[in-house]
Amino acid sequence: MANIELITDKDILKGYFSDASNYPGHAEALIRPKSLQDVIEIVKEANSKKIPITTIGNRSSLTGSASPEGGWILDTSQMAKITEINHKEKFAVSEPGIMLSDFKKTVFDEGLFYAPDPTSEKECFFGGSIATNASGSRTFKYGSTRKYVRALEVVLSTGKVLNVRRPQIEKNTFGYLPFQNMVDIFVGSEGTLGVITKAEVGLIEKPENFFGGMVFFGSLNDALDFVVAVREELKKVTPLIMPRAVELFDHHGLSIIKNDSSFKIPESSKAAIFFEQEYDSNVSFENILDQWLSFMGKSRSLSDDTVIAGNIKQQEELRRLRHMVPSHLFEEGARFVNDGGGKVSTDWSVPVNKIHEIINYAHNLALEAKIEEPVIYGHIGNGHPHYNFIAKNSSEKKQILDVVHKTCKKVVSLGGTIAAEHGIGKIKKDFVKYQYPEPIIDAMKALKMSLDPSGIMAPGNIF
Amino acid sequence: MNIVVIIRQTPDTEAKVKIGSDPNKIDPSGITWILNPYDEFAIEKALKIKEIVNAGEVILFACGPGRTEEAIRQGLAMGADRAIFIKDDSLEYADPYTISKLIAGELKKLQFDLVLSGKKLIDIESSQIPIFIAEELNLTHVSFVMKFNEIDTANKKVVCDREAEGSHEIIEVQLPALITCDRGEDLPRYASITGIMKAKKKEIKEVMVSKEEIEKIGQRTEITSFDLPPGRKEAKIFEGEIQDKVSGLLKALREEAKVI
Ligand SMILES: Cc1cc2nc3c(=O)[nH]c(=O)nc-3n(C[C@H](O)[C@H](O)[C@H](O)COP(=O)(O)OP(=O)(O)OC[C@H]3O[C@@H](n4cnc5c(N)ncnc54)[C@H](O)[C@@H]3O)c2cc1C
Repeated sequence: MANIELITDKDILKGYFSDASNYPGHAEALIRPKSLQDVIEIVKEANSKKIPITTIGNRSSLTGSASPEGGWILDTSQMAKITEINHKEKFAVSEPGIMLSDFKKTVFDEGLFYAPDPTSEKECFFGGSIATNASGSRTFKYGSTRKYVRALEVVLSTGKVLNVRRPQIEKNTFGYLPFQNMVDIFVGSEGTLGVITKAEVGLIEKPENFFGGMVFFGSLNDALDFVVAVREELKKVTPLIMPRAVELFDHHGLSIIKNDSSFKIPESSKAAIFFEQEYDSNVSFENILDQWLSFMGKSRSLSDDTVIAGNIKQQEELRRLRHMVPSHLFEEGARFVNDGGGKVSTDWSVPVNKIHEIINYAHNLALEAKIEEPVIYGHIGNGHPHYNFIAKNSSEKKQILDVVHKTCKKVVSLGGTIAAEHGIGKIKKDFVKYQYPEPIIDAMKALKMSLDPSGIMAPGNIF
Repeated sequence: MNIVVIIRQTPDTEAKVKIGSDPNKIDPSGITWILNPYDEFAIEKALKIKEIVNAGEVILFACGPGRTEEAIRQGLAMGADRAIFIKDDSLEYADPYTISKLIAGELKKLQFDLVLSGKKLIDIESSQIPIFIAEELNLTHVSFVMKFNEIDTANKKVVCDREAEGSHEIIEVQLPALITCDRGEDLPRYASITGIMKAKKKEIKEVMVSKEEIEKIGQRTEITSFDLPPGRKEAKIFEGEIQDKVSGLLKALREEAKVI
């Protein structure tokens, strides 16, 4: 470790104690490796002294997964080089510390497209997005990060470097499925298994054109009906519409964006669906809109008020407005943290045909408990709304958490998951028991202990 | 009240402009064309006025190559009533004087109260076309208007508000007049889906011009060549321990940049 600086200045360190969830952490030192060799040295040293290591990306985690629980913080920001962009085979290789949006822009400028698009893509690192299996609005069409990760270089806590690659074979009967493809074990492992120092991801052709739009509804229920109808439509051989994103704004979401949007939100609207669709240059844009109109005609949308973002500026504005909702809630929540309150965010999801049932169920629970209505927004097309509360103080937070626990139990009973997007981190550990039986959790712990025998990697995350 | 809005198509602000094989042309490949943003502000202002006075038409007026139709459709989708389009691919690099002469010639045939346009084109940073037209038609003109404080149809006048060196100038003008528009408070509206569908059916009257007509006008300026701005100098990054970085920075500020 001769050439590696351990930053112990209290004022600098303090800035790294919590991530975007505001979960309070603590640490003894911050280290910024510049190379694979640095990471190996750091990890070996830590392992020999049993010092915990929390690897961090850009700390946009909403679960406390990047808030350190003692020991060293391993900051990946100095390892930010894209080492290869391969046009022929359509992949790119990069170190973890590049901002995801910068990575995407670089490959886009070369005519290629990296599909994962977490709302926080301008605030999270390429590596962080892999370690959390990040997803976004376009996951509706393209799937989450996992689908694109082809190979990883990971430094285990022993200092051993593991190179894993998604198998190319179509048949394999050797071994338990997760072990046949170790890439998927590391994607979404929240720093608990090792440090990702390089990743190879698949790229696709840049879509020729796309447009965005916002459809308004007189009630949340009408918007949910619309979403179910979209999914049904997509099962047809020649669907009328083919959106790549289907995102919800409830009436709170609409009031958050109201003053900032340059289009008029109709007075009577209580919910909206933001969508995007790609199209080739050889089809007429007006024909596609015609199809949307006839599809919307079958729903209870306020179809005449539907706004269309046909140029780049407006498309970007729609995405900016979509991002405004979580950012606003994040700032709003932060105001109450000192009083024991704050934002309580959830990222459960259910099969799409169960979204009415779960939202009604959660709504009734909130009514009974007399807590303030949540803001419901996000990836509804995947059955995955964010259902977020602002607690003003600790007693409100307790009541809200009680409602969230009951909701999560119901979510699992409907075939859903308690964590569709942000992982478990430190904040959602109490919910884990609803989803998997004890022997499965024990098997996960055993896997972690075999890859990280001293348990120094991101302690406190997941388990 | 009939309002004419003069519009043009420009490359998108994000477009990476490359110089073509002819040094006095740009390479059109990879360029996304958009409605000149200041013209979009002008359309928005025209539509607002029409909503307020609840009478008359908003007529778009364009002069350029065939691709311009996309920008015209966008303006029609926002809510303009119809368009007149002097269409000829040879107008791609026509100079502002030629274009204003052609537009003014057609405008003479129209009944209008107000002519609006953007304060400038974002590609060649030119503000000339609307002003030439005003001169050609002997119209009063006011440039860089942020908003209209008053629309008085009875007395045929408008009160314009424009920013000038940290202050506001309030200017009353008798109609007909020509006004060039700045951004102002009202951002251009999104086209609604029905607006876009209706726009498909709205009239775009195409006006053909002959080569002789264009030549007869006689261009006053000519683009002889384009040059890309020189690349920015690379940033200097100071390496080493914090002490070394600080003294390195101070030394450079004192000895190289000579600012301290
Ligand atoms: C406003 C806002 C909106 C958001 N929207 C979305 C969204 O739409 N979709 C979504 O999925 N998430 C979203 N998030 C959550 C968050 O941005 C993502 O989880 C993101 O992928 C985290 O990346 P990061 O670089 O900030 O990682 P960090 O927060 O620093 O770390 C997250 C986890 O990854 C681990 N980790 C980071 N880098 C490495 C590495 N190189 N090797 C091993 N482990 C590593 C850390 O140990 C930690 O467990 C949002 C967050 C905010 C604040």
